[in-house]
Amino acid sequence: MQKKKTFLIAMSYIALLLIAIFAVFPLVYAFMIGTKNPVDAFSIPFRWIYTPTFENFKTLWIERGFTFYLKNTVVVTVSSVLISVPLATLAAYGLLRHESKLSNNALNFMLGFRMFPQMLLAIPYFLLATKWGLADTYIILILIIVAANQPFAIWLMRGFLVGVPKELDEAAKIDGCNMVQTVTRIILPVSLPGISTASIFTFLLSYNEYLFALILTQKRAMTLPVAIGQYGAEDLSYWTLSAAGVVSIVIPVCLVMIFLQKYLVKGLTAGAVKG
Amino acid sequence: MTKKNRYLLFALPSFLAIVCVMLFPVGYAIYYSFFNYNLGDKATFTGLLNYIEIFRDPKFLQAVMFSTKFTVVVVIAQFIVGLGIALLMDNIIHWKKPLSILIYLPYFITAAAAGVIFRWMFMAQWGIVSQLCSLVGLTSPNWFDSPIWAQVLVVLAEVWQNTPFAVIILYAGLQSLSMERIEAAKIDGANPWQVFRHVKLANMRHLILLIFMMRIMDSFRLFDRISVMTNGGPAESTQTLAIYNYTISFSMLRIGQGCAVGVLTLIILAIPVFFLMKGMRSAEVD
Repeated sequence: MQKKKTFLIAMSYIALLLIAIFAVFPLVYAFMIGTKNPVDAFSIPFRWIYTPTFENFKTLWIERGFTFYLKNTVVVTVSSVLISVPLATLAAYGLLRHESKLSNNALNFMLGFRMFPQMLLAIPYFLLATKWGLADTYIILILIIVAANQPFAIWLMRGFLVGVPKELDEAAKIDGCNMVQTVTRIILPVSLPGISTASIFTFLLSYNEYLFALILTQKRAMTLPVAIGQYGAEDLSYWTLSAAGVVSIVIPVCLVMIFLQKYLVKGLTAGAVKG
Repeated sequence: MTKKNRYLLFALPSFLAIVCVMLFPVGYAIYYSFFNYNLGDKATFTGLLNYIEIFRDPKFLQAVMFSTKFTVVVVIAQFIVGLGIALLMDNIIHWKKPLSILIYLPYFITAAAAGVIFRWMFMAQWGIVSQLCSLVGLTSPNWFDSPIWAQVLVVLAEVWQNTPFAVIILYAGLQSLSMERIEAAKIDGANPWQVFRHVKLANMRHLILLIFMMRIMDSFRLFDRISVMTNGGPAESTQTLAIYNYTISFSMLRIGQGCAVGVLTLIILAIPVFFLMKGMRSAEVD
């Protein structure tokens, strides 16, 4: 019996290790192409061992001006996080404390907004943006991401705020805090883990956004995913360069995953798993 | 205003954002779905003509079929594979953190970048998979020129990228089960299969429904990764509803028809989501 169990555990480790390799292999492959010179990249058979070069990154970022798209991505992402997360936190708090059937249903229904097909939104965004002169600007992208992020962020913050006891509010009231002071002095500090988690998810949503940026931006506000998706489709002789681009866009996400994994897991499970 | 209702003021900014930037545009799109409106021309009211024309377009029906088949296959695959991985992770004690970082990573990376990488891996001649094939003496097919292989590859990429979502949720669910319940079932004479079926799975019912709901929503309206990988080809064999809609709206500039396709996508998607949400509510009550 004991032997059987040890065997089972050993097999689990081996299986998980293989799965982990399968999961990261495409990224490792992209990294290898991105750090090869074209001769190595196009050699047959595949060269597993080669002298790595960072020339591609230098060319892509400095000569090909990808820093411009990075700047756009940073502006859109940072603004989206700064606007979206406070809105969602307040909304989740207000709806939870309102404690009526209406606000409960509103919270429950939040996830339903996720089913809106992006194309159904993209067409009116395109028409309205053109009409109001907002096409190819940061403002329209930020607005869209802030709103599109609300349902998930509210759902997530609700998962965290459910754990904040109502007595805390009442204690604050007795100490003479008004509603706004209660939120800023009492609720915000205790929900900081939730706010960090919501911020990371908003960052990822905004950073990875593709369709709206593809439709609504051209020259001035194009973001990294669109630039890289299109650059890769060009001539194959740019292969190593676009691989460097793919690696660059994936690196920040890898860093988030390595250092903030706890928050990512908590964020996905906060609203779902009780206790 | 009563004191209690003042809490609603906190939700007002967010509510306004949702109404102005999500509900209003959807209303706008529904309105234009009844108009013959090509970009640049004047819009004229045509009633249900757009919808009738779409249903007559074999490419629309093909896209509905592909999106549906794609969604069913990937969601079931993600659930089964995800459950398997979660159970394996529940077995081990050491190295959980590094292993889970590696296993979860694909879920969080940019889908467009993932699409580009998969296109390279299966590129004829130079792609790593084609090279490995020739290494073991197999002639690899021209992956993206074959409709069947292209479909297999977009499924593979979707399963690769989004299975971690199921793993994360199910693993958290397994971890939150109390040891006592499992032990109690064992004392009652339950075999491992019965423990799995009646204790573990039964207690994760609402999580399983949540996974199905979220994954159905996302995979049915998938655009970015497939657009970058195959752009719907070859011969529209991997054309999802979203890519079909993009072509209608932004290549052919038939805005009215594009809106109608969007409305139909929403209606089709609302059916399974409605039942899953209902199921989740009753599972939560238990």
